[in-house]
Amino acid sequence: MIKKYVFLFLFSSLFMTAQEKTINEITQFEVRNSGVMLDNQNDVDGYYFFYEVDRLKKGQREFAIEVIDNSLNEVAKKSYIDDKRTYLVDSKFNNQALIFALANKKEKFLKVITFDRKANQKEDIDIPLTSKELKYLAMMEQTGSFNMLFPVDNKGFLVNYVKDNKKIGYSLKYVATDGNSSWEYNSPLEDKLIYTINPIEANEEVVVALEGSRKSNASKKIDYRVIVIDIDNGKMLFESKFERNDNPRLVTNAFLTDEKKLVVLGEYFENGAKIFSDKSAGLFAETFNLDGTVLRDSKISWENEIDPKMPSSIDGKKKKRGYIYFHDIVRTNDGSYYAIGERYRKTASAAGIASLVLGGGNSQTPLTQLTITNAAVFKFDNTFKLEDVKVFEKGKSRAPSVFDFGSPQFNAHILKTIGAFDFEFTQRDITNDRFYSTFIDYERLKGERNKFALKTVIYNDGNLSQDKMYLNKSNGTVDMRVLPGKLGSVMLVEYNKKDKTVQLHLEKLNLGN
Amino acid sequence: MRNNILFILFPLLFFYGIKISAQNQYHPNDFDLFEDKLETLHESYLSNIQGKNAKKIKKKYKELYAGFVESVEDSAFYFNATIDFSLDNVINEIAKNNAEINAKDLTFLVKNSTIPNAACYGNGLFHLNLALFNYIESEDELAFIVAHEIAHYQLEHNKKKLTNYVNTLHSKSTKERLKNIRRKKYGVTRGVMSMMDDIGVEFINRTIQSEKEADSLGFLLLSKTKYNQSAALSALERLEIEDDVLFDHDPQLKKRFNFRKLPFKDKWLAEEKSSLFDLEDEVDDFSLRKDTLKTHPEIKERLEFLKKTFNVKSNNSDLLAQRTLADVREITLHHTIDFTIDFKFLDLSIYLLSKYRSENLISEAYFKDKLILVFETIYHARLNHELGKYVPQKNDMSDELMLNQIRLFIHNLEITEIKTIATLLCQQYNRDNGENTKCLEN
Repeated sequence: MIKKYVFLFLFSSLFMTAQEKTINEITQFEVRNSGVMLDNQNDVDGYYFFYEVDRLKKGQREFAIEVIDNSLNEVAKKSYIDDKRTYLVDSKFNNQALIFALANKKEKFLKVITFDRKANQKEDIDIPLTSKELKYLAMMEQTGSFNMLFPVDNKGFLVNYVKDNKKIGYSLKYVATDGNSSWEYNSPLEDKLIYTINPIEANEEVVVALEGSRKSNASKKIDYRVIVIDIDNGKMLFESKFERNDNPRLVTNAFLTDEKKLVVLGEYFENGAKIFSDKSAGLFAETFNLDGTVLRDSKISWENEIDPKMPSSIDGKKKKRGYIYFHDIVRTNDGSYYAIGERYRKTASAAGIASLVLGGGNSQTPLTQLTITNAAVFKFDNTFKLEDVKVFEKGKSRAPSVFDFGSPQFNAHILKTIGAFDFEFTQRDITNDRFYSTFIDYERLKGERNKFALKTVIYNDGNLSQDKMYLNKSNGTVDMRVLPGKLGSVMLVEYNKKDKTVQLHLEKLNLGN
Repeated sequence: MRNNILFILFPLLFFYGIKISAQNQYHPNDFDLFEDKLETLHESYLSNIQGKNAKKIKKKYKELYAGFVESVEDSAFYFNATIDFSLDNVINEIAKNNAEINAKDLTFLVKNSTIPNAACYGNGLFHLNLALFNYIESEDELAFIVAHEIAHYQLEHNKKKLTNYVNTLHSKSTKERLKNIRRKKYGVTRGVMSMMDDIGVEFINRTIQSEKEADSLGFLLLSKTKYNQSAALSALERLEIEDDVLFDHDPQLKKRFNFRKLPFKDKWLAEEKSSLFDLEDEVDDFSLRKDTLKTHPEIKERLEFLKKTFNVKSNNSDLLAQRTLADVREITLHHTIDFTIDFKFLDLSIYLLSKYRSENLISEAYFKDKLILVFETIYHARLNHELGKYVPQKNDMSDELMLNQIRLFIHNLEITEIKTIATLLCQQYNRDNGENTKCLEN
């Protein structure tokens, strides 16, 4: 998230008398929140800032929605009036409209507002929600991998929200912006399971979504199915189930090939395994026709195929995989697959042990932690045969275990949802056949001050390289944040604590370093 | 759109924040002496501020002055003996023939800027932007610009405007209006914005009036000198610049960056994505009237005013030709390129180099030599992930079409391509000039 800052919207504060100070204080627009508009490849369409401008009658407020394009040019500052507790949740762009989702816990609604290409506001979509539904929606949002808005380029967009059915369900609402019909796809009303859905791909023909179902929030058992929906009418074309007792799988990614084949990627497990707490058996890539026919199901096991190819540890003594958390699997234009992950292991926490000793045996601090180490990229050919594993060194980071008693995998899954891993995002550049996977690197060198850097693993021209960008500057007076930028770039937000100024700039990542 | 930024009264003080270490032309030779001089001018100005709200006006002025001093320290100005000599000649000629002016009270500086502009600070300090010298042709035209700025000083426009601003802000009616707005529970921000807009509009209207007065007095000052009166008209005509022609030179990127070993790639000028809106200008529901107003009268209006009031006529080019500014223009032209490279305004560097080369104002060897430096600087900035700080991205809503093209080009290049271009330019330079300069890849 962009650091919250007070933006002096109109008048310079440089030369102020007392009267001017009063005026400046009144005309300061405070940023309520801000965010990045990402497309389906994590490419940036723009950025938004949501300001509160003025207090109006009957609990209303005038807000300002400021839109900055992906080249950091201010393109629109629109006035928006709503209840004082309204906040902006998400924003997307589908080449036809700019879409914003706003929520209000007190007034209990989710609202979608759109602006056309001339920046004119179109008709709002109001979705009344219960407190429970909003609470669940907020929980889903916090995971960081939930798509509340999902753009369908040149056609429409999907709104994904929670429904308080018999237990908890979902509604996937498709809103056409090209004049065609809109529709809804809902989870079963009477079912006693908790259902969630996350669209992961949508194009001019289909929507691919990953549906999860479990008995309760605490349940470690979760069943997944990939569903494919006709974009024109919302009818399900086919589903592929991955249940605990029959082919349990954790889907990381899915995409449609140019030949209109659906490829689903992720980790597979032994039948009966709990995918959140048991070790996976390996990685899989399953290819479907859009009528549901399985064209190929390629599996590759850790033990037999991956471990022998693992590079030696830094000390060169042994080949050791440890645990790997996969963040993304991408396919390049030649049909190869690259799985991007991070190594981690469960270690004793010095802070936890010290706290236990000092507390006389009573301590809330976990005794164990996950130590996150190098980035690892696995290359598979187009038949999903492992070809190579490349490890990119980065500094260790540690995250306290959520549960001392849970398996490392279970802790890793929980920690992933709170952003404890160093992985930031992967961007896919289809035109230039590149991808960029970005990590935070905590560099610790003997005799030097610890450094904080951004490390990006780049695929280009069939090769992997890395680029590193140090984020410590000006002896701590400048606080730096990194946000996704347009393909091949990152946006750096430099907050100067002394001058109280914010500088945004885009920096291109360097290929082949 | 007409450019409205000529001869501004209150300069926008912006700070470069860059320290130049090598061959320092960005600071006066004796900085302490210079600072003492500034301080004397400043103190003398402050002592003349009296009456209602004097304390507040002084406070405001001190802050403005502090900003100015900081900009001097931050290398915002260019110090060159030849230019100073030329300016002194003009100032002395005006002072010699106008008894009310004392040349010793006036200090003209040259500011590193590619916008043709000038400013009067009110305390005897003035600046002329470097780019101004590239637009005017003769010492006579320079004299009119200097006379116009001196007129602002003589008429105490800064002091009056600052006083008026502070007095308006602290007037009974403003305080009452502010009190009424704040008393309301709702719409306070919009209310204050509207009030400040009214003050801003009034402020701009006064500025326009001040410009007309400065033109009048400036012309009278000029008319008593050896300089040709028609220079007032030609100076204004030269500065009648359309916004969209300010950067209208085609940099010919496809021709200039097409090498045998690295042919120009179309993707270097390719746009990545469609823009969010189909708009020519930013949509702003919070824009104010004052932001759309011009601070200066139209040049045509000013020309008509001078012609009508003083019966001044154009031409008499013979006299203009006798007092060319060739030597000064040569210096300012080269320094304009140098400062854009020093301050890493690298898009501007490429634009100016290409423009000046096309106009035959610089030699091919000089062009190549500086272009190598530009690409080496781009390479190091990219390597350190800070190029985006210096070279903005293209802006679809900007009139600066050719600068946009250069920005797109710079940012689309991969680091390896930047390095190769720098090296190829360097090798070409060595070949053409029989030199053995060290190239980036060597």
